[in-house]
Amino acid sequence: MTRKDDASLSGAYALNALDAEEAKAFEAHLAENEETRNEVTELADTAVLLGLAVAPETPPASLKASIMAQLATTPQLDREPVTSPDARFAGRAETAAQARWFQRPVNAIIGIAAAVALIIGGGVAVNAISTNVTQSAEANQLAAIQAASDSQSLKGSVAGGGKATLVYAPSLKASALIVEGMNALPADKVYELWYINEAGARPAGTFTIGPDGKMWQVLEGTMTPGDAVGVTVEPHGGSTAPTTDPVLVIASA
Amino acid sequence: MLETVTADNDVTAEGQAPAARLQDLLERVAQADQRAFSELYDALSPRVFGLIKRLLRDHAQSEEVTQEVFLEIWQTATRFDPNKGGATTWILTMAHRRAVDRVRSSQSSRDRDTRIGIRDYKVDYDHVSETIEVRLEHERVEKAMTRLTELQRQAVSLAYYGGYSHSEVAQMLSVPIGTVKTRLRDGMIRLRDELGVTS
Repeated sequence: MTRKDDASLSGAYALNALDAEEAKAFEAHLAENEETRNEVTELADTAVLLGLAVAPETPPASLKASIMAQLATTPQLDREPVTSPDARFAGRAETAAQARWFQRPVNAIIGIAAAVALIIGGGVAVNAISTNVTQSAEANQLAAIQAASDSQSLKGSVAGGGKATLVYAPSLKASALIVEGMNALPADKVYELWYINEAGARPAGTFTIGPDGKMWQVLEGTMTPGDAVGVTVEPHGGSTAPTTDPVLVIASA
Repeated sequence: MLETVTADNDVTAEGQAPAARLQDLLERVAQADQRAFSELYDALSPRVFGLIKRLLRDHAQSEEVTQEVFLEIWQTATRFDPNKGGATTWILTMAHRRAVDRVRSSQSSRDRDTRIGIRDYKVDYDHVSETIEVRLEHERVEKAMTRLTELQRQAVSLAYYGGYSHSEVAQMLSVPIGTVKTRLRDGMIRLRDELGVTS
């Protein structure tokens, strides 16, 4: 393609009207052509105004709950190592050349989306968790806990494998446990949650783990300040007091 | 003494969050602040969902894509650079990109509206009245759109609001693909100038 042909794609590119291959070729052109780059930037900003002309519509509350429920298990990308002396080793020259341009939010998305897919291993985790979220009352509770002004997020490791995050809102006396990488149990066993303090352990519900090792659950009952949250393996149906050593204990502040 | 302190960042209409606040929220989201994320969601999800639904039509799919967008915001907020555009720009650009990807990936639903035709891809006038700000933005765009030629307007609308590729647009409008490319560019440049966008 001649340079002139390339430049003529700026409108289509800003509107996301190129197919993947054309977009990639055009990006290579952009990396070397400042003039076209500026034009695309302006046209992409113009496209945003077209977007702002669309009537806003508030999505259902269940959607927010579903999204909030996934944050604790959704890793964030590291900040870009902009000033690192090792940055020159970061990648191929081509990548480096594009980086200047791709740091622009407008186009960063394409590259980052691919990177994210690698990091989080695709949509599997996300879907697995969102299945639970059909219990939307519980999802709403979880969203409320996460959104509370005093909400705290506490991490712990599960004996035998797995990571856990306890989200606790003292103002709501409520908490939720989110786990991943936990082992599934035989059918005659369940995991049981406990509020633990000097007075002993109070049951806070039971749960099971599917083949994907993931689960989240809002704890039953009320959490009082100073309570730790523990998990034990119990017979099917749960126990009124722990009968085994905990596989997880997370202390709240 | 005359105080003009917050005028620039002030709320311009009900429900409109000032840009500085959104940027601050996004900064906090980059530090895994879920409360900030919750506020950012409240401020921008109607914009995101509205735009996505404009392209996809389907409510359930629009929810899914809105979810994708907000999880991507969570994941990539660390890479947001305020020197290179505002939070709203960053997020709406992401939303449009994701919506287009979804449109392209569901071919069956594509055939849905090839027949519905172009009239549907005009900016919906009737539904826009929620806030003065939205109304003004809408009218500004609407007015700028009238400065385009008919072909430019149709091409830009089909591409942006319909999520069609330039070759699909060419087919729908029965013009050569080269013409569509040029019209998309002329049209967008005209809109840029009419709307006073500068980098």
